[in-house]
Amino acid sequence: MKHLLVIAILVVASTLLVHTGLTAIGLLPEQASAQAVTIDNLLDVHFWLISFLFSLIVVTLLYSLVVFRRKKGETGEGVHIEGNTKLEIFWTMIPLFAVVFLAYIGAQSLGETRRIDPTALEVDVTSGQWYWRFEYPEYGVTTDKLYLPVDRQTLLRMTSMDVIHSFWVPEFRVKQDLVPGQTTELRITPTLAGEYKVLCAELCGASHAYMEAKVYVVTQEEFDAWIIEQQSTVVLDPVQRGRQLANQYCVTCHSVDGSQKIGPSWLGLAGSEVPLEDGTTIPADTEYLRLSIVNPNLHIVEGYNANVMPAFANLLEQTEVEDLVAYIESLK
Amino acid sequence: MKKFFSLGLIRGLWWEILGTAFGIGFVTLVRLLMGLPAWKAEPAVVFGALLGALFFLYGVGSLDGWLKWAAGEETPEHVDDSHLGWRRYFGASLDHKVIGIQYLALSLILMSVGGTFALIFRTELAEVQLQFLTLNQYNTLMSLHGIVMIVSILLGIAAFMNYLVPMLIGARDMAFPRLNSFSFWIAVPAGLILLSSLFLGGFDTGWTGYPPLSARAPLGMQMFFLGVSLAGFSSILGGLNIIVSIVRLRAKGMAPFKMPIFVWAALATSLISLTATQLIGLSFQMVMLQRLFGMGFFDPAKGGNPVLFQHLFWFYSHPAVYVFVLPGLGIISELLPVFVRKPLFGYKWVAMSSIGIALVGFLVWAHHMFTSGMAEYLRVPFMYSTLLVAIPTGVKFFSWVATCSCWPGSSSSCSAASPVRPTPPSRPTCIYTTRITSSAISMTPCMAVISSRSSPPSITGIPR
Repeated sequence: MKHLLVIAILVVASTLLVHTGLTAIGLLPEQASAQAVTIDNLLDVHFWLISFLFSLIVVTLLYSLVVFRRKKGETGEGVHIEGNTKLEIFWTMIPLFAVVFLAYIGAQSLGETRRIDPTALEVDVTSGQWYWRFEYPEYGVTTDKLYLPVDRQTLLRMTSMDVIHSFWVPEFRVKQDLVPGQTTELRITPTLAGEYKVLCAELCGASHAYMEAKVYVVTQEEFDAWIIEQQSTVVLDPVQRGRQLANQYCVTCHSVDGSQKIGPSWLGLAGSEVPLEDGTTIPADTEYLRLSIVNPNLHIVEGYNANVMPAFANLLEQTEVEDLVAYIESLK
Repeated sequence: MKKFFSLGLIRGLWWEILGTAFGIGFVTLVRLLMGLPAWKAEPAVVFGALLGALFFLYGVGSLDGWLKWAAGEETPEHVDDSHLGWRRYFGASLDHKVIGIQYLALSLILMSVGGTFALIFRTELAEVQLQFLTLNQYNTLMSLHGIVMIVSILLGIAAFMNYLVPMLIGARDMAFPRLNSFSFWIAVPAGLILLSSLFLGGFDTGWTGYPPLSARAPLGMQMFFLGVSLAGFSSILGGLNIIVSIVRLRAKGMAPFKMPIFVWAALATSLISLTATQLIGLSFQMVMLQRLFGMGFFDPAKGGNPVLFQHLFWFYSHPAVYVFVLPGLGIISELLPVFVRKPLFGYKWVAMSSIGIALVGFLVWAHHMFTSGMAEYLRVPFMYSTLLVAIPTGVKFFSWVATCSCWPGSSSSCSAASPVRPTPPSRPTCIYTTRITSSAISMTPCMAVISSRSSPPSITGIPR
């Protein structure tokens, strides 16, 4: 009995210690959405359970190894105990109830994070290698930054133009893949104004690590003001519009200063003779630049591979392609 | 020098080069005859690599027995090649202990290669931005590190099972020695093909190879798919061999619940290898065919579904983690009683928990896909089944604790010689396990002990 008592005290002490450690080292980022609260509560239940089970096993093992170790002069075998069926049933049934309980509160929490608010703000999210695009269909606004009003549910309808990507803002906790040919949904209720980042959480090729976009959680008034500003800002210069598009979709792979990236640099490209993979050359005129955007596999530049750049024919409007070409032609 | 070139491994490598060249030439010739442009890298290299692997198996001598039978020649059941000395480790030996060592050597070689990849890309990460790798090289090393480590662990598991299981059950060898040799040797060209992707453009998908990304990755992707598919044969056939050996070749009197506990772990592991590995092979071959022939399995534009791949992939790749862990848990269950000088607590429960983990492990795959876009309600049943794995796992851990501690534990010392506790009737315990520690290399004398003790009471004592 004395051993059991000592072990019990040590297990309790170790559980408290491990749990304190787990919560103190900052495993979780800031809590910035209503969904995050539900998920963190669930995580905390698990942290307690992990701390307890870890302590139970490790403390009992170490205690046994130290206290029951072989004393000087002992040479015999240990006590011959082959097992105890009642005990085995005990530690099968208790965990069974525990995991069913955990699964139950898990399912409850899942339901909680998926709760539908019919007045949610709708945002269409499109992803591709390697950009994020956010469209507010109610307002006719399209941007590369996600603005969200605080304390109001946002419904993200998401799809991908090429490979699988994943929408993940660590502070919001929830995550959802964007699958080509399919629309997936994610509901977020931001609760803390601030600046965050959406990170792609599904390996999506060479520049996956750099596929991120800014997220701003702002008050409803700031949000409305931002929408009006977006709606009223009409850029008249095609080169200027092209630069904005390029910053959104292109500069991850194409530099504008001659430096080496995944694709050829745009500096001095327009008007030059481009050497192709098949040994010929082609003049980089307006038509070549346009074709290279809408159908990148048509002409492969020497030293680069096919199938790296996605086709932008479905993503960009005709006028947007023309803006991009105008921007490229301005880079002498 | 002549001795060197007559080694099975060296002959196999020559034949592999020959086979690869032949395969590439064959595809080019067919394309010429069909009036297509003669050179297209992808089909030529894939077919070359596949043929190279087959030629390797012929060159190394792994197909010799079957070829002789096909020609109507008789072969002895078991060929004793011990006169070859160290050279038999480099050829198609049929001895399970030689094959066990071969598996272990290949596993350690691949593990050091995979580890080196990790060192390279972790060094790159020491500072922000890229210093000496390109983005594609970084992703290739990261992806190859993942899959090479997985293959090497699979081979390491096979090493322990091949070496130990026949001796633990008192068999002279595995049930199918030729299949055993084949299972090992196919892993060699598989490893070579896998590593060749480094020189064929690499691939940037990670070890999971999800399409559509893998459908558009460079040529190295195909070498990854082909290499893993071939290594899969090693797992499937190795698992088959272990199961048949355990079922059919146990020493007289060794009932299932008298088998050493590691054998139960090996059985559970092999059940998974035999029945789940096909699914990863299938999913990878479907992407290979999609790339080679334009089939639209996972291409949404052709009515395919990328999420289907993930279901097929994880149906193996989740149980695979139990392939990795069950033998390890089995080794702990085997060694722990030796060092605490007591029998394993709840032997039957521990044995059944291995089988339980293996079976429940088949029902949990979609927990890797909670965010994948599959039907949302599926998250709930897969959460329940996933949590259920905790129960047999808990049985193991609690039983170890009970093995170590002095339950019911009122005495101050656990020794049987303690004055509080009278000496229990002496029964031989841990006979074979103590032999393992005293002579880890040669287990044969130990088996002699088991097989010579044919009277029922001592048999019960051996595996508890």
